[in-house]
Amino acid sequence: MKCFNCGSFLYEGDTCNVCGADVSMFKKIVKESNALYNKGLEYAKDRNMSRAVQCLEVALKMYKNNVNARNLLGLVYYETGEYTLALAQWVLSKNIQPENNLANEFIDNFQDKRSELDRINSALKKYNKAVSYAHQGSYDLAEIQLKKLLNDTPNIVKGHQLLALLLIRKNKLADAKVALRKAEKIDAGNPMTISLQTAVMDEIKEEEKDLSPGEIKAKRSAEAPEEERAPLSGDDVIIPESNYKERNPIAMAILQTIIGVIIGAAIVFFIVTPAKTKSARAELASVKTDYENQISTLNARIAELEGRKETSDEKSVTEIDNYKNLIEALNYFANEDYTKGLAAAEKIDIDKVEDADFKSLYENSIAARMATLGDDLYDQGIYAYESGNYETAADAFYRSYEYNKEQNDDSLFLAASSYWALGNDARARELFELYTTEFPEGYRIDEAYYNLEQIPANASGTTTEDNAEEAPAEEYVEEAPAEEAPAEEY
Amino acid sequence: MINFDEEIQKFHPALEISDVEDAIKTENAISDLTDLMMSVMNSKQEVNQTDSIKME
Repeated sequence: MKCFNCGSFLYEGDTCNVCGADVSMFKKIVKESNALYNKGLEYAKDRNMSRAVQCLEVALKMYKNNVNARNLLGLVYYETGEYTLALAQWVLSKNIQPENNLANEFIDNFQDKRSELDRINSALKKYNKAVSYAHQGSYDLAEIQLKKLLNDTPNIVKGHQLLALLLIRKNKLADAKVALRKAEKIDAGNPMTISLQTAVMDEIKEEEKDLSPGEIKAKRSAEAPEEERAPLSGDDVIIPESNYKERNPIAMAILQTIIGVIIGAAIVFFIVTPAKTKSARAELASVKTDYENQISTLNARIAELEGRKETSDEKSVTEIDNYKNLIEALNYFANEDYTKGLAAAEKIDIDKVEDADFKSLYENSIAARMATLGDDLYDQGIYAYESGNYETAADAFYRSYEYNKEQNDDSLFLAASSYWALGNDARARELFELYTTEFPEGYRIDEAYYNLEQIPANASGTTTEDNAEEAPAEEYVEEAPAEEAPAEEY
Repeated sequence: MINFDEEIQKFHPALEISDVEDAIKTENAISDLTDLMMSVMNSKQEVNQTDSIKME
């Protein structure tokens, strides 16, 4: 509460702390104004708007800055169709207390909703026109205008009252009664409404005075109010009555539920399931690809292991054969059967042997023996060659060369000569060429070249007794053994 | 019985929204008890001042 004199806040006590004015009376006035506001509020809650207006107006005459009373008065005016007065109260209220004031909301509602403002303005214009028609005596026009107005804006109390008055004039008492009942619903304590209602009831009683109860009932049903129906305008559309009847709501509900379930199932079947299936397929494909990759890796591993196994098997077989041949060769050598021993030794593939003991045994027993045997075979070859047995000589010489390749260049030359003597020119040429390649500084190199010139380049491998004897190589072979000391010994 | 002509004269045109300014002015012009009290207090002060001048 503010001091009426200086506007400062008032505390307890009867004087203002700032200006020293006596505020005891002022406080009583404000208190009384608030009491009237409370009373007005109670009336408004009971929809006795006229009494509420009376109380609130007195409250404001006591203390015009009573914001609550002013706001409520505006609201009551608004409810009864006094829109302009309502707006005026709220504007004043806002002027008194600009902040934290309900009136702000009410005014904003007016200003924000342009259509609402237009509707209210149009309603007020219609009402004024109806009043004007009524004053001029155009009661029917006034009635039509009011019915339109109340159809759009049903809370204008004065409109209902004027309509009721016009209906009473036309002796449409039942309709007038309805109009007054609507006015009463908005403002229960309106003196004019009560007055008109009393008059209407008196008129009705007067008319029904001489009638029996049945006649009264028939009369009332005949006069059943057409009031609820809105007046027709030029823009209204009349819809013919339809034979359509609302179906059983329970059956409809069940049917709708079933349709809903079917639609839901269809959505799940056609949309959700394919999406899930697609996702599952993609996942499956991914898993399948992973497994295929793993399988291919494992297959590769298996192939690799099998390859290793085969290699290992081959190696094992070769090693076993080498051991067998070594034992066989040593056995033959022990029995002095050198031919078979050598044949067995030749089968040993020493290059593939990794065992150091095996190699040592081979070098000490077999290789050394083979070298010795090379010399023996050379001697055998010389003996056969001199005997004219070129075939044996060729074999012996070549084997001698084989057993000691590095040293037996002479064996190779004589082997070639033996083949030449046999008429196997191709083999002879082959071995002479081998000689020139292997022993380019051999002491028979000139002879080898000479013999190669003598042997035709396209020499064949035919062998005959006659041409063997006529072989030119024989001349050299005859000479060669003569020069060799060991050959003479044989 | 209602006197229609008498009753119909009780109905007056409503204030339209465009008339709100006039309504505000009218409403604001109404004085309340506090105004009356201020007026009384001012009058009382004036009387007191006049009396004191006369006494002097």
